[in-house]
Amino acid sequence: MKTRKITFLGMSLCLALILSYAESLIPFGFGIPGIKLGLPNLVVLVLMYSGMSVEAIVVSILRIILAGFMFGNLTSIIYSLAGGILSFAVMLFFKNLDVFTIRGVSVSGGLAHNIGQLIIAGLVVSNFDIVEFYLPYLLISGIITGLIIGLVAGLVLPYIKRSGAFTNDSLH
Amino acid sequence: MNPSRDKKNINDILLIGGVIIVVIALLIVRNMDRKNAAMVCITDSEGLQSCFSLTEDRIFTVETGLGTNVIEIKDGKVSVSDADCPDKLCAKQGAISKAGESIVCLPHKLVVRITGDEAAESTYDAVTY
Repeated sequence: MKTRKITFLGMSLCLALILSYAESLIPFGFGIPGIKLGLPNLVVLVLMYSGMSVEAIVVSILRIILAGFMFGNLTSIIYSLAGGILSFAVMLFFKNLDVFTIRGVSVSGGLAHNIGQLIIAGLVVSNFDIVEFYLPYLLISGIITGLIIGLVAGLVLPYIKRSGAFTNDSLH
Repeated sequence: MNPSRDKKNINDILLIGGVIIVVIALLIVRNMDRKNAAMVCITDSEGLQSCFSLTEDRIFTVETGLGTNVIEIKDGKVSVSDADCPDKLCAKQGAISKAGESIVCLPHKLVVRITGDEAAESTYDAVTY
């Protein structure tokens, strides 16, 4: 692995961590627990669309663990990992299927993230009534946040690609 | 397989629209469940209990040796619209609609209580996360 790539991925992880912190400062939950903006997903999307899917999931998992130690706790790490891994799998699936734009892929990721967290929540309290109760709210929030992140990623991506500095070719 | 940009945009909208329809369906089903479960039960001073559905509007009078209360069920809510007790606190309380809520008329020993299924009936004062 080139030094340049190591540096780039290190910076991606830093950016994802900072976005984790930034989103904790933005009140977006409307009083419903578990609703977040999902800003770190921006980094995952951009990496994925730059042809670095494996790197994207590694950065995502490291980000969740580090952010969990700094701003959260073990429970929040477990919830975030479930959401993060499921959303990554669904986004990669739809990206490779090539039926949605980056916005649609992001929305599918937002939905999968919330569903993954809800499944864990249902397992933890062994009560699936809460799943039924929260599902509509979390689906709506998944659409809104996914769309916002997808729009931003779609706007950012052309500049990153055009710069040529962070394409996969120049990093290997 | 490489659909055009327009086709992908349409797919995006279909995805979002589909999920919104699912959400609306979930919310409608839930509201129907809640309405079916709600009943209002009235216990008077003689220990007689009678229950009615909250969905049917009706006005009736409960008369016992201690006095009379007029009970009104309207738009899924129940209230004591009139009473001949001295303080009329039961009438002043207004309408109740949620499972577990109750109106009590102490002078007439009358209790109006909304019952629901066990899950819908909240046993907590508040829940914090």
